[in-house]
Amino acid sequence: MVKTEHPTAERGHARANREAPQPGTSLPPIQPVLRSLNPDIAPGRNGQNPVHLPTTTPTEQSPQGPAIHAELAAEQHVLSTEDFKLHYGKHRALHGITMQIPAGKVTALIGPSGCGKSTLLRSFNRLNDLIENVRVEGRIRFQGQDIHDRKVDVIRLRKKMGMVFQKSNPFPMSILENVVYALRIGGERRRRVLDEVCEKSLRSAALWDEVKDRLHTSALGMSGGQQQRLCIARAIAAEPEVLLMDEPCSALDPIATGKVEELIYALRGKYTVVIVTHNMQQAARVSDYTAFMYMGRLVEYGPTNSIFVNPHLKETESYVTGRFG
Amino acid sequence: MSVVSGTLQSPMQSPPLPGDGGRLPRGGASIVQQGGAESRADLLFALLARGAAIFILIMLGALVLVLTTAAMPSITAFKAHFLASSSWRPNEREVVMRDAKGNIMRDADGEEVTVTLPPEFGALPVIYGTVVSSIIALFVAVPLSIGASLFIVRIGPRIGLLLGPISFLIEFLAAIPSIAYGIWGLFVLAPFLQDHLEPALNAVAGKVFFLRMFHSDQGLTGRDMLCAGLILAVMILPIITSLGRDVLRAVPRVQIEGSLALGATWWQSCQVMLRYGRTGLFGAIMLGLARAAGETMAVAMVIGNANRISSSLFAPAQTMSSLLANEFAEASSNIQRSALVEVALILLVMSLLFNVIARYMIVGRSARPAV
Ligand SMILES: Nc1ncnc2c1ncn2[C@@H]1O[C@H](COP(=O)(O)OP(=O)(O)O)[C@@H](O)[C@H]1O
Ligand SMILES: [Mg+2]
Repeated sequence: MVKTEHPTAERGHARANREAPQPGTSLPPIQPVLRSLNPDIAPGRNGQNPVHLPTTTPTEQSPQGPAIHAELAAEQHVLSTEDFKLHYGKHRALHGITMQIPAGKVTALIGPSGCGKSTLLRSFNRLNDLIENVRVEGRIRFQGQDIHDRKVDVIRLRKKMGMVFQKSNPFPMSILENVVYALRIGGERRRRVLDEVCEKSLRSAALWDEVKDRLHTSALGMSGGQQQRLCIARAIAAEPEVLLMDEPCSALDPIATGKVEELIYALRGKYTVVIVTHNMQQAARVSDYTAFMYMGRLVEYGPTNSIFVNPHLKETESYVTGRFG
Repeated sequence: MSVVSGTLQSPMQSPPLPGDGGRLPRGGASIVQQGGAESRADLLFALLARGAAIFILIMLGALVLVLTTAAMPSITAFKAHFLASSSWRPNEREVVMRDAKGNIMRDADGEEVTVTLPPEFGALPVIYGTVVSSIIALFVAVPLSIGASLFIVRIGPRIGLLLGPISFLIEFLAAIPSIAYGIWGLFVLAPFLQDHLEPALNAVAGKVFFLRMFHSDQGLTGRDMLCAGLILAVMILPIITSLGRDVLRAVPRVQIEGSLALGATWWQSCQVMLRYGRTGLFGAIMLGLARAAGETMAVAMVIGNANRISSSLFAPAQTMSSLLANEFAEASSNIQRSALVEVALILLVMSLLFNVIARYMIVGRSARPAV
């Protein structure tokens, strides 16, 4: 059924895994789990097992080409990569990624640890520039502009892309100064503007009511969940077009995670969100599209419910059902 | 007791042990303190650590006590005046009396009328000298060394193999004995100041009021407050740099990346680093200051050793420690020795005060780094 062939040793290993008999403790079937998490997700055709649809014929596609679902073609995209490769020194972390990030939607990047999710995310705002010996090939376009072009001002690029990190990183300043940091470094001094932006951003991050009485106290005195929402507020305050989130909930307890997920859900439409997550249930809950990456390659990319319920490739199915990775 | 320390045994698996005799519930026995070698070592180590801490406190107390006792004669003789007075008169001196018009007074025989002034000591000039030379040192060394540590941490990894030698050389500066700095100051820095820098500054600065400190009407010798301050700057540079480098290296990467991701420039992200590490940086600066205030040999060689307060940095001066170095061995009277000990006591209290004020300034702020 699977049209794409993956001759590499890793892929072979994955397949071997998949075909091995599962121990009795394997996860429950994915569909009921997903339905219980998100009722929007439709079951597979006739409630049957995932149906594997051939995307293209083998002659039209390189053996390692990804399965990109047709729905993506209908979307307007704000960010795209074209055969993007990234090397850390001699080690190649991304092997030619070609994908498009739809505007105003939440796109989740999933895949096992070390598959290059963070690397790809950090390539979008060129944060990898800081790391020594990083070399890139191929293109990333933001609003049609090649971001590695010499004309591009990387500071302005980053101002258009908010980023939220795995570990919350409030600066050692007051809550207010944290939120308006982007404005401050842009030279904004007017008290009224700063106060307004602070309130607006904290409200969007659903944090205003919790902190409005202590805006001038240190942000480091907040709880972990509050700190992470503060970081989201700080990213929003700069009015970016894209929000990049790298496992924003991995250090949070379930209640704080729930709040942040609600927030991400509420941000759809206003911002283009790209979220890296380890947690597939989270990807299912918050995202419109999901990209599955493996060993530095994009494997499958499509609407979240088809990726989870009706993936085209066996690899994807194995991963989302928790059989490897 | 034959139960293995530190393992939980289920009651099913452990048969009743001979000798336990029901004193301990089965299965619970293993989590009760065993008083084995491990816990004895723990106890010993705790005692040692506590003992070491107490020992340091006792040392400090003993130091203050001895200094205070030795300084008592001077303290009782001069009281608070010691801190405010600028006179330093180790021996009694006869001076002729003058009348209101300034004419020398004579008695009936035409002899000059004289009074004998007792020895008198005041620490104000040396306190002033210590403070001002340390301020000059910090003024020069802090920007340089913070800049150097930022360079090592932020740019260092990019220059690869060069970083090692640069780091090593900066730290090597700390290992140079202070007498070597003194000789360099005497033969290189002082002549340079005398012949080039000071005449040049003198020419311009005399005309502008607030630059008066860079002006002197006396002859320039190069051995003056400025020279001492600059030597001190060189000497405290490595200590602030290497401590500052460690502090900045410990700033989490996400702090730097967080600011860059918000569109900060290179320098703005450095400011975030400095802000995050400010407690540690302050500590580094404090240690530099302590070294500057206490440094003796090099300063004694280049400061010109003049026990007076001058508004010009181009005038010779004296610091507390250089005064001690110059005079202690040759002190001619007990009261002079006592006065010198009092100066040492003031130096001790002053460095203590520096630290307390520094702590207070840091802790007084509302926003402070975690931990
Ligand atoms: N700074 C770095 N230097 C060298 N190799 C790195 C660096 N960061 C990540 N890598 C490597 O790149 C690969 C992808 O890492 P990453 O993007 O962090 O994966 P993920 O976020 O999916 O867990 C891994 O093999 C990792 O070891
Ligand atoms: Mg990662």
